[in-house]
Amino acid sequence: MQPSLQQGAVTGGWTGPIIDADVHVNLPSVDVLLPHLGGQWIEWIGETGFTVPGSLQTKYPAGSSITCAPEWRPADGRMPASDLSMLREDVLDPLGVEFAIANCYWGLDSLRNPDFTLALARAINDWLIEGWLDRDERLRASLIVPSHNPADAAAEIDRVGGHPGFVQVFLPLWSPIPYGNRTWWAMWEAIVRNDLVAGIHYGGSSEGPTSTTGWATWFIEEYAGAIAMSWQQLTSILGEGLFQRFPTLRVSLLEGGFSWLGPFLWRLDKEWKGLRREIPWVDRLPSQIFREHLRFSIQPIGAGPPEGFARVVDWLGSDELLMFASDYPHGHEQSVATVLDVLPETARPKLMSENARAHYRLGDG
Amino acid sequence: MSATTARESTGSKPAVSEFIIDTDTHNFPTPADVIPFMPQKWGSYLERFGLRTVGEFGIPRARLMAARGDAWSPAGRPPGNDPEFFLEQLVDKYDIDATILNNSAMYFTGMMGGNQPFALTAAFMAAANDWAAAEWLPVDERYFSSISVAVEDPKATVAEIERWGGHDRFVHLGLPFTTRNPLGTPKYWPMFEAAEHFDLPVSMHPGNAPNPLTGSGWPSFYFEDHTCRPAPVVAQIASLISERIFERFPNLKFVVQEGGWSWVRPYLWHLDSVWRQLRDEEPYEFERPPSEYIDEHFWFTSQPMEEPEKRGQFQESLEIFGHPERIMFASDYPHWDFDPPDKALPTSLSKELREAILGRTAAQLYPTLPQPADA
Repeated sequence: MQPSLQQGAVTGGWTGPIIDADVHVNLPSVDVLLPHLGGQWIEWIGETGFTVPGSLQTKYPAGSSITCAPEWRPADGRMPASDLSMLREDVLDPLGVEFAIANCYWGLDSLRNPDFTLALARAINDWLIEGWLDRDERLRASLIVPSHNPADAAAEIDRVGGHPGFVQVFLPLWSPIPYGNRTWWAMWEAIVRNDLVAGIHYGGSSEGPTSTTGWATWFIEEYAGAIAMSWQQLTSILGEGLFQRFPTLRVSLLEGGFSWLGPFLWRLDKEWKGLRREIPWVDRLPSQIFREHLRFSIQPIGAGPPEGFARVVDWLGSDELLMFASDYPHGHEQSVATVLDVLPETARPKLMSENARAHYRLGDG
Repeated sequence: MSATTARESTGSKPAVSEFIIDTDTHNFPTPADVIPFMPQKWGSYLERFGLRTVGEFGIPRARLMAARGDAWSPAGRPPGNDPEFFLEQLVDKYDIDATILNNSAMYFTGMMGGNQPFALTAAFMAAANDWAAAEWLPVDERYFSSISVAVEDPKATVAEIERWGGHDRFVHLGLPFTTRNPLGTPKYWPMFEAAEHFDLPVSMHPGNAPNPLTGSGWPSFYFEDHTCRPAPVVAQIASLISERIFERFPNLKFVVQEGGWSWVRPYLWHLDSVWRQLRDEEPYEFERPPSEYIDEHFWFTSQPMEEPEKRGQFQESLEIFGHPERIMFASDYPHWDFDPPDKALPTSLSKELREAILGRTAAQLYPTLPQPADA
């Protein structure tokens, strides 16, 4: 079965305001970065024949429908979602979105040379500003940071984080060490200092195997297994006390699903009751903290039969957690209608725009 | 208490008491306990070089040995090390009909190895089984044991399964949640073939290969480790499905212990959905969606019991889980988060479901265990 993404299916027939919390923009090739790179890096790219970091193909295999839905794959062979006109024609115009938050994942996490990685991150951010943010006022974006050096990440956040188009920092789900670890705190301070959201998004790589039980082999293992990495990253940022250290911190979990949240919160609360003496700074139930600070983009939806799925959505315990996302151009099996159908009427506008508007502070100033 | 009185106490059980099988308890062999059962070469090696793999003990447990503070025996032996005190504190106290001793040798990275010769691990696991057979099973007929194996060493693993697979009181293979590679990996197939041959369920229980505890390196706190115990099971399920393990070994049974169960159905919905979309990755035809294989081949144990937020959500989570009779009671004695059988289960359960969870399902899954009186 191929994903069903006909016109209208993406929004589930919803006709009210829409904010798309996760659309993707792709680099057509490294060439678009050259105008934003210093001479030594242009020379380096020429000498090494560098084209793209390895993680991109690992996390988004070029030919998979996860990477691009058939309906959104350009017939002329161009890279999907690599041009503003494509994004406008496929998503912004037909869906009538008020705002869309653009995420650009290129796999920088798999590059080891710290200077080259920083130069590329800076170039991508400049390309996002020049090629996208400054050309369509509906667009907002996540800025990119290098994954191996928190000080460089903090510096890059300070460099471009004040641009009004950047509302979030893109943090790949897999990281060298869990994101709550104190190694990262300089980066978190910069995120908070610039009043940005931390967007933990599927992708990335670590210093070791993809899971605690070793390397995944099939792509489906890695994509479906991302749920486990989401649990571990969220537990890390909660357990290390980031929400007490940074009370204004806002976090999004993007392209990680949400149907597992209720049981995960139950387990967190139970473990906190038994083990909180180890993490005394966590001064409230984890479920309360997450419901206050954490939001989810809805794709992949991962729904089961409607009656059961309705209960699982009810277990979220709040109608303020979910944010509509087309996840353009990534393909998914289920439409947002699957979620709309199980929500009470009052929760639908929240899902489709209000939760993202509040979380990202869009259009209120 | 002597072994003789223990046996008599089983026979004099009051007729009104409930039939209880405790599917997850832990006996614990110290290196000094197993050395007498090892070949002299490896016993001597162990004495001189010790256990060198650090593993999860870089993260201090919330309690020494993750145990109840009262689980050290009057003789000063560590938790799970004194079979008489174990009877007194658990089996007799709660009038348990049978308990599966999941040998702790398989759940300490230090014992499973990583920084030690493969042959030492194989000798250690074989000795741990001999220790259980000699020091525990004869003490009381309500004791049953897991089989410990050097899981990363296929030949040694198969040899050890063949040594105990026909023994009525070694009732399942005791694997740690994390192995060095996901369990669908071909090097584990001979182990599954042997387990299937002896009709031994494969138990998966928290325990660590020497990989970092997350897919993104080491966490800092036991809270993280303990909360995310189900995480490797997510990866193991995806791997077993992707490598078609249940088509290769159609009678293989898995028991997930200490991993919870309320997250399983939402995960399987997600896995089914992704599988429907990604069938083009797998150039063969699955017979059925992943969830059907898991529904057929997996059992789950109760401890730590799920505790939803609101009244009614426990019942809802049982319904969504889909086959609550596949849950089996476990106390996890002697660990700090012990669930006693008289308090672990919500009172809202039906009589039939309570009986199934407390003992009947386990009696069916493990036919050599004691059976309920009306079976």
